Amino acid sequence: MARYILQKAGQMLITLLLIVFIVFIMFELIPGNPARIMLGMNASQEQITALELELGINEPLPLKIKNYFAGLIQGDLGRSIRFDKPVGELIGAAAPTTFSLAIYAFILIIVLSVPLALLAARKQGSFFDNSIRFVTETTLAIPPFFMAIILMLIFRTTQLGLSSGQGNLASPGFLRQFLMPALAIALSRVAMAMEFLRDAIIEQKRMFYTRAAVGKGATKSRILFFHIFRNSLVPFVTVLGLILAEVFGGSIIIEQVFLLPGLGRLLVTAVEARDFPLTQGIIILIAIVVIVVNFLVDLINQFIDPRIRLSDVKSEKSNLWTQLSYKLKFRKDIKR
Amino acid sequence: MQNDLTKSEYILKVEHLKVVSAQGAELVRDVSLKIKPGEIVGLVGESGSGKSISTMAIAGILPEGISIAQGNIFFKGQDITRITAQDRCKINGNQLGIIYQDASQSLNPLIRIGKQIDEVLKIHTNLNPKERRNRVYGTMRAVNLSDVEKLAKRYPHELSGGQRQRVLIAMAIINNPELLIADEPTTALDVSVQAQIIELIKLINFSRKTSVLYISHDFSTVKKLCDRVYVLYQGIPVEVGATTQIIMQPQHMYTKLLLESIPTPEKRGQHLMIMRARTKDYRGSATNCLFAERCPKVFERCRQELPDMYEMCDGHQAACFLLDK
Amino acid sequence: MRFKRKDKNNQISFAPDVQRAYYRASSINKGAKIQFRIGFVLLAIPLVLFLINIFYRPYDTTSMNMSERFVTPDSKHWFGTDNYGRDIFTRVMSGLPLTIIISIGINLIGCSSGLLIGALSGYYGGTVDYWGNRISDALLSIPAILMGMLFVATFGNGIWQVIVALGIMFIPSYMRVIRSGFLEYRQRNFVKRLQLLGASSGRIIWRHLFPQIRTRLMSAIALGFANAILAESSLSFLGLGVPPSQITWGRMLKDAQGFLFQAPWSAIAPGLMIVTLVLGSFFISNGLKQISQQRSLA
Repeated sequence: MARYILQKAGQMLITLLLIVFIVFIMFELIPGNPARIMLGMNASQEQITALELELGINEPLPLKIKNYFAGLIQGDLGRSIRFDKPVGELIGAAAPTTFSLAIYAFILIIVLSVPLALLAARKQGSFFDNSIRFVTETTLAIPPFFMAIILMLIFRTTQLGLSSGQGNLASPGFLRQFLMPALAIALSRVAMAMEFLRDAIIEQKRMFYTRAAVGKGATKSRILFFHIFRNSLVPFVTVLGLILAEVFGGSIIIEQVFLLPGLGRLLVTAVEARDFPLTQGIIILIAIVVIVVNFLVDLINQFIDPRIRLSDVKSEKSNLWTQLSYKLKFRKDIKR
Repeated sequence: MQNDLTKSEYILKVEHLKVVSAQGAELVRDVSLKIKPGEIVGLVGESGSGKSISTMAIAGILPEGISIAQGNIFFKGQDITRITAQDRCKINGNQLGIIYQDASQSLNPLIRIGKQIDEVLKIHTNLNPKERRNRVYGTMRAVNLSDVEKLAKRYPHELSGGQRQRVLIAMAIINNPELLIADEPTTALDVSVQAQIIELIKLINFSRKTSVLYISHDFSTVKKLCDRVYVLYQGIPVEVGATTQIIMQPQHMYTKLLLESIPTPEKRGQHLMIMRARTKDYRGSATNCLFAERCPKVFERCRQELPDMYEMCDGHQAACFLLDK
Repeated sequence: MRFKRKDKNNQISFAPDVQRAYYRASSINKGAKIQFRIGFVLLAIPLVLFLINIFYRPYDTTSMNMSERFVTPDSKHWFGTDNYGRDIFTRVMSGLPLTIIISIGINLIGCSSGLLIGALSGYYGGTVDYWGNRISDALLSIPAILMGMLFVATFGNGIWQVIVALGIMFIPSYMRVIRSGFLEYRQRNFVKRLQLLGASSGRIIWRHLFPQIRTRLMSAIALGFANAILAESSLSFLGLGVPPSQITWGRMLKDAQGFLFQAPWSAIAPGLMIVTLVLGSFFISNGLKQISQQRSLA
């Protein structure tokens, strides 16, 4: 078990380093003088030189990499040019909104997808199953921002009571205020989670141990929750971990629609102003959260299914990825 | 117990069972069988003969799309073909224990062994956790598992094939069922382990007075274990009788050929009798002797009529026109 | 079926699945057929608009007409007009070519690189596979639009930036599809037999393994097409990526948000176009996937 965790932690670290490196190297690719681009056309030569010094633009690449990583480890993400404040401070102010929204959407995805999957899996290929899948497939095709606009049109409102300040999980009335944005993100992702759980349940239903449980005299609900659900949990949890990146992507857009003062708004401002340190900081933060959560997913899975520790999980997971990016339906329709 | 038996002298009585798939194929055509209390009955046949499907029908675990079309199954005098799901849950695992062919797949991979055995008690009894635990350990010891405290905390994938099969048996007998259905419990095992499992089933039958319905395609294990044997061919029993009668004096050509094709030391140096292969997979209803296409002694009548069971001597019956005198 | 593994010239086939697929081609299952039908119908709508767009546009896309602001949809303006009195039907129609070009570009980059990396790591495994996986893990942990934003921050707005950034983000999913296909077939006996016969790796990969996963790849491409449209429109909706001078559906939606309740049609029209295209591709992808699954089960 310890070996498994270490192996996973090692993979996580490598992935983290890679992502930081990718984001960092982009900065090197800026055509022309980065300082001039960031400060705009009206900047004076002194300002540019000062920024060049501050960012260490003219230092050799290895030193720059070293400095950047050293700063990152100390939690120093640099200084925003647009706002003239430390990036950490800006992110700290905006992050609670985004994270609250993402968590809310995430919970909505689980709350919506589990019952739907259970209902759909009751009888494969039934009218009910097909219609649930058709509807969720359609919501999957609706981008979150269009979903938000549809929701606005349906409920005839753009105002969510969020006139000022930022809401987060702790603020009163959060659930009601954030319902629409969270729903807009969640609805487009429910389909994926739902389908994976449904397929897993249908697959587990065919397993021999389910039949054996009937032979034990277990009732239908007991079989479903004690046996099948538990066995379907591993792919479901894994998919939830993989959806997380999409949920963050969705919340960045949705913040723009509902004018929520979160990371997404900050990021759009930063990109428009070519404020590179801020852009880097936000992207790295989101990537770190996604990677760490996926590491936790691996740990959880390993507690659910002890076999994972032994087998090569890598292939299992990448298989799941294939299916996700491919929305593979485990339809092993057996023709009799 | 005594009361039940006055109602019917058989623990299990199957009458004219017919099982069909959703496409209308007849998987079991016309099976009738009886099991007395304390008896070990064998059900022998090649793959596709419908022996597994019959047992599934008895246990109420037919796969989706396959259903009982005709016939009755009386378990202790009660017809269990048309009972509700709740009543079925009360019988299965309690009065009717089932051992499956593939032990590795019949155990839930994510639940510890002890808990899985315990589940049967949890469903059917009101014992407190301590009593349940003691009984689980007791049953595990009874099926010759050693070091049971440790074993109970293991997961199925950490066990050997023989151990898994024993765990399945423990699960099936923990409530002292009156009938134990063993669906090819030895096929996935090594020969040495096979013998142990056979001995174990014998022991359970002896010590607990459990009737056993033993399904196999392998005459050598049936010979060791069963009191009576039903030979099944394409969903119809072709020969019934005490094991010794059938082994010594097989009457139906199919049984004869089956027994002939077992390589034994006595047949050393001789050619084995080889049955002609089945050429077509006929799934409609039977109008003539189904074995006619492979039978070396086939004659005109075989292709026109369906033979009845002809009784030879007490209890030994076979469905062959050669016996119609 | 089992006895029909030999082909006409009585040669033993090395790739039984392909052979069997031909036998089964006539019996594409009903589900797949329905999926294809829905998919093609949905895709036909934008296609017709695209063809019309080439030859004829009812109105100018940019000229403003202040006397006809917020006209509700009628026979003259099918989808109504926006805040500058521009005909939305025309604008939606003329946004189509750019969307399709960008999606094709993204998938060209994603598919070709993904095919190369996926084939290598699936066939050779080991270290190549390990690092391929790490890189794709890293790329998968950032949402696609974030990469788009990073590119825009670096290189400024532009169509090429969008195509390259999203193209890179689409590599991992293609890679996974191809890699898992290769992993699955690599262990089959016909590959071992070919290796024993002395076939080169390139030949095995291209002539024997690739055909096995062709349907899957096609399904993945259909899906990638849909996802590319979604990603591109998200970026445009944020006002990044495609320069403002070009008409994109995402930007139309962004603009429409300002007068959503005065003219809901100005948001619904481009939104519906996105959904139609994406859903159509989804259905085609699902149909292809069902066929490929049938084959691999056969």
